[in-house]
Amino acid sequence: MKFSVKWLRDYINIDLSVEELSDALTFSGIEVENVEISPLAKELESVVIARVVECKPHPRKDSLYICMVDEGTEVRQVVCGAPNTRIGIKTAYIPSGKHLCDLHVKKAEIKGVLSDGMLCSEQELGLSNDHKGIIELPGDTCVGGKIVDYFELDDVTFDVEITPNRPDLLAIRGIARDISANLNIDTNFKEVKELDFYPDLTPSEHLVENLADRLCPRYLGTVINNVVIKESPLWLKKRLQAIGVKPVNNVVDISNFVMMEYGHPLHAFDIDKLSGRKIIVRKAHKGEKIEALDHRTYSLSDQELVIADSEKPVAIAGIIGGVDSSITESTTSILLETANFDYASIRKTSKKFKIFTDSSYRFERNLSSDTVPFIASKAIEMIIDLCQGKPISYQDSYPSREILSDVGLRISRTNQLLATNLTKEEIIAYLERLQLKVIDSTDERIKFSIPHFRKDLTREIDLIEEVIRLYGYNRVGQDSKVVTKSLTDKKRFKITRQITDFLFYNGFSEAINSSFTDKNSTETLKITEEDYRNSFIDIENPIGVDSSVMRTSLLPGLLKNVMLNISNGREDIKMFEIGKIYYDCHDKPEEKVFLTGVIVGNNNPKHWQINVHNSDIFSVKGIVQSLLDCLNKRVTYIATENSSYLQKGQEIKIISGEKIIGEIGKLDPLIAKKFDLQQPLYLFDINVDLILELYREKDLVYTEVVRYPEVERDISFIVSKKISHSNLLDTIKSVDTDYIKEVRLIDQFKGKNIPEDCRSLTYRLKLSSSAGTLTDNDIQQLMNNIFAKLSAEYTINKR
Amino acid sequence: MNREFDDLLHELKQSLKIAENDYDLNNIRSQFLGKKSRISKMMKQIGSIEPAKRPLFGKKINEIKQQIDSLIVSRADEIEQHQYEETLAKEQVDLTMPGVQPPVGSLHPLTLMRRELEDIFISLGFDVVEGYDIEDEYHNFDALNTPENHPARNEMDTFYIKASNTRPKQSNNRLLLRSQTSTMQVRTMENNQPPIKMVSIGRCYRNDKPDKSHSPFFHQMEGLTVDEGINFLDLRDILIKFARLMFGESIQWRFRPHYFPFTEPSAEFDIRCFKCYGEGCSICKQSGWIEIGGAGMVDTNVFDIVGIDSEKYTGYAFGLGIDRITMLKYRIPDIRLLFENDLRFLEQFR
Ligand SMILES: [Zn+2]
Repeated sequence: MKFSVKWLRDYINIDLSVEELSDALTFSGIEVENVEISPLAKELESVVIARVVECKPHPRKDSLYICMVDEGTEVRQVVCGAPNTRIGIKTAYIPSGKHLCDLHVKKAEIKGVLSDGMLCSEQELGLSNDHKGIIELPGDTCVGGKIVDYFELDDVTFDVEITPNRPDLLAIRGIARDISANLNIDTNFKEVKELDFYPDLTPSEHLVENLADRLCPRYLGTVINNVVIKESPLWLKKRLQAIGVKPVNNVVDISNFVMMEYGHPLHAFDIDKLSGRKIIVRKAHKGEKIEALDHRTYSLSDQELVIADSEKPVAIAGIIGGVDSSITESTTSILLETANFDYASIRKTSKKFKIFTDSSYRFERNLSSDTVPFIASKAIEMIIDLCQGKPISYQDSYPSREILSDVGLRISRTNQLLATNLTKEEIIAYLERLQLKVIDSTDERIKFSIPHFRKDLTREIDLIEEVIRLYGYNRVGQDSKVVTKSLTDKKRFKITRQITDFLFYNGFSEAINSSFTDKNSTETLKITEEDYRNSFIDIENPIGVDSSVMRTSLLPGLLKNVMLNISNGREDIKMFEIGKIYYDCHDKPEEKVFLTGVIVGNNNPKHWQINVHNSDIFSVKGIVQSLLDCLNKRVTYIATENSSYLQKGQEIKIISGEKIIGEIGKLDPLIAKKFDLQQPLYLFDINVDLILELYREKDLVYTEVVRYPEVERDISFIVSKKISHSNLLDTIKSVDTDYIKEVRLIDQFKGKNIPEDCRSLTYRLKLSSSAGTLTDNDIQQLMNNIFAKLSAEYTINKR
Repeated sequence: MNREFDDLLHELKQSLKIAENDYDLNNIRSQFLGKKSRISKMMKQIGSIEPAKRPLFGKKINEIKQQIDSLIVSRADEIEQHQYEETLAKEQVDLTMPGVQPPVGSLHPLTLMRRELEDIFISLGFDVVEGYDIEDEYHNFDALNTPENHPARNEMDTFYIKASNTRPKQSNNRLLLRSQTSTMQVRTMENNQPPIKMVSIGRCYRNDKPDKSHSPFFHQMEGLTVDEGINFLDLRDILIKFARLMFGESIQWRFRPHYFPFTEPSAEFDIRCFKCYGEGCSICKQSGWIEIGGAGMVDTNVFDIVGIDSEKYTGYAFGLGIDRITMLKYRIPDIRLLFENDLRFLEQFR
């Protein structure tokens, strides 16, 4: 549904910005889909007022003039063929290079004379059908001004979505009414005259015969004579054009205008073409045909409601008129149809014939029969005014009045449901803004009568909804101190599950051990006195000496579990525990969640197809790498030698920023011996609380996929064992950041043909470019650069 | 002439017979149809033939060419079919042999239960909060309406933290290991105003001699709802919803009056024994009912202590023994099995 701001302001005196009006609509429940400059204003944007300062005939063609035109800033030469072209005329000028509707105005030679721009007729400007000559503006018009401003075409068009329960909002008056209620500003609707205001308009008995009053609850026909069919005045066309309705002629434009104003369709017949000069509302006869205004012929069954004359259908009721009885330029008498139809029947017929008109769209939403006299009167008034029409007779078939039931509302129920504290007076004030009227009331209950255009209000809850709509959905609860917030630590919840699941799916079994331990547990691991793991929290009344303190590490428990399972005959063990450790930190007890894992034996079980791989430090490092990658933790792994229980040269610290968040390593064989552990044991120990502290939610943003193929290239070289992989990797990656997508170490070789203190490494590079397929040349160049950079920084030998 | 053609075809057939692959076939094609083939040479001789016979000759050559081509093509189809069958035969394997399985470990049964509880209560609109194991007397007892000398305050049951040099003994509020997750009721209400709807799962400690149903540390879930208009029916409703989600729609239940210092009225919540259906068995200790947890309406004294308006708000609280429910659900006879971490036990829970 479209409306323009200027049209809206015919009914309500508002001076709001587009944003303010959008907000007012939004909080009325009217969704704003689009806001734009009115089409006509947009089209005429570049047209300015200009004065012809020179005018002489074209030497090569009689009917043409060569004019010099002052358009405010410059004087331009224009060739024009309009007969009224003359010196001094003020008219509309469009410069070359601009568009007027679909016409692109170009600088061109016309019969050998340069024409820079164009002078326009009213028709060309879309203002009227007048194409006799260029538009003539009064002498006092300001040269250089915009045509849009002069004709006040600058309007803003809103396209809004109306929910199906609110046909009353398919009307610009309806929207004004809702905004008025929402902002508590009065409307300035003009009173519509009663039909008996018109002295010559007399009731008739022979105009309308309603044979289907169940499907047509009301039919008001009015005959208007002396009608002059012509073009509508500019103001009316502006209104219609602003909402995208094409002006046709005064009678058609008036019916469109009134429909948009009231949301209730109406139709005009040429009464001279109605056989018997009367209307019969009836079901169609099987096999009857009608050619509709869309120039298609419809074959009717006895299910459809038609408007007929004494012989044949002249319209498919409420949906579309027939061609034969339509208004033409020669029409002088019309029969104006203002009626209401059963919405279900309209919908059925419209669906059956696949005809969807502004009219069917509204009727199928259950309109009110009581709007009928208003639209009739408004249309009559306009037809008298704009078509010199003389209303002479009417007949109003309205066999059973439409009566809307009164609706009651309980104050306590309203407040309970809405969480408000509204008084009876406040509730009444809100609903009266919507033109509901109090019928009667007690302290607790108010009974309202419903205005005829609000058929959707039938139950208490409907009224409660209207109250909160006007009170404000977002105002509810604003004055209460309660802020609803979640107490769940979602990050911890999610990450804990992610970690446990990751390890589970990678072959680890979860252990849960006692929180108690004995003091010797750290002694065995040679943990130094000052380490936090020796700041035990002692239990005053322990259950035994081996559980006299709280655990400060998950490792002793897991080592115990490993021993148990080895003694049960297990060889390959992967276990982890995620749980709290407790220690004394400056006289306050601290509780931290740690994740500790151990691997003993083979990394994978024996399988007929796959070789067994002994676990080593890289098995456990790989697990931690993948785990932390999943948690989006950017960390570095640094070789260290300061843990008392890890074997020298088999110890890695996991660093994030300044903080050590964990370690990876191999249990020192001497310590393993104390546990009677023969096999190598690899472990990781990670502070989960620190991970949570440093965790950032993954910021997943799509980066464009390179559309060109990836190329793989290997680079192999011999280098001193002292140079670390991570240094080499950094160097390779630093050569180019655009083409190198991935660098992967795929081989290490020591021994034969390689010096004792050296190793040979092979890296595989994935290369691609978003600019195009990489040529052999590009690739060779890049590989050379990499090799040059490596050679510059280290002593390497290409293999 | 015809003789020559017959020879040619015979020769072709011999060659095709020994052809094995596309390479051989391509050679044959160029040998018999290529520029230097005999047929090409014959074609070139057309000039030397008397004009009247030329059309017939040309027609004959074309026929032979087509014949050669179709023989080669049909042999190519044969070879392709043969290769396809060979591939199928080669890839006949014993499909009962094991696939390459990525390794899978196991999740601890308590973790499985914890997740199930969390998911159930999240679906019922509860927040999940975390608490501390090391608490003080105030949060474990006093604030829960269990002042000193209260008969319910069994000192013997509670582990106390030993005072240290740096942490002198505070005789009026000693540190301890919480004996119940109900401490989380106090912690949550101290820090938040209603509406509150939370559960908290955690470890508790009691100085019990370990046996098949007791462990000095164990796990509980605490639930708490505080809002305007919360009533006893809300409590019963939420626990029945929980029991149905956990043990099935057809579960039978009952509430028994009970006593807890921090709720009033207080109750214990039983479900029908899912093994004997009420007949009496070892799981239900012949009673036909299994106790699931304790519950009640939050005592107004607790509200007063934590500073929540007890006239405006009401609430309910409940506590469930997680180890106990886990043992019931998985039919684990001895609580100690849960903490031994024997892989033969753990690996049953995948
Ligand atoms: Zn039983």
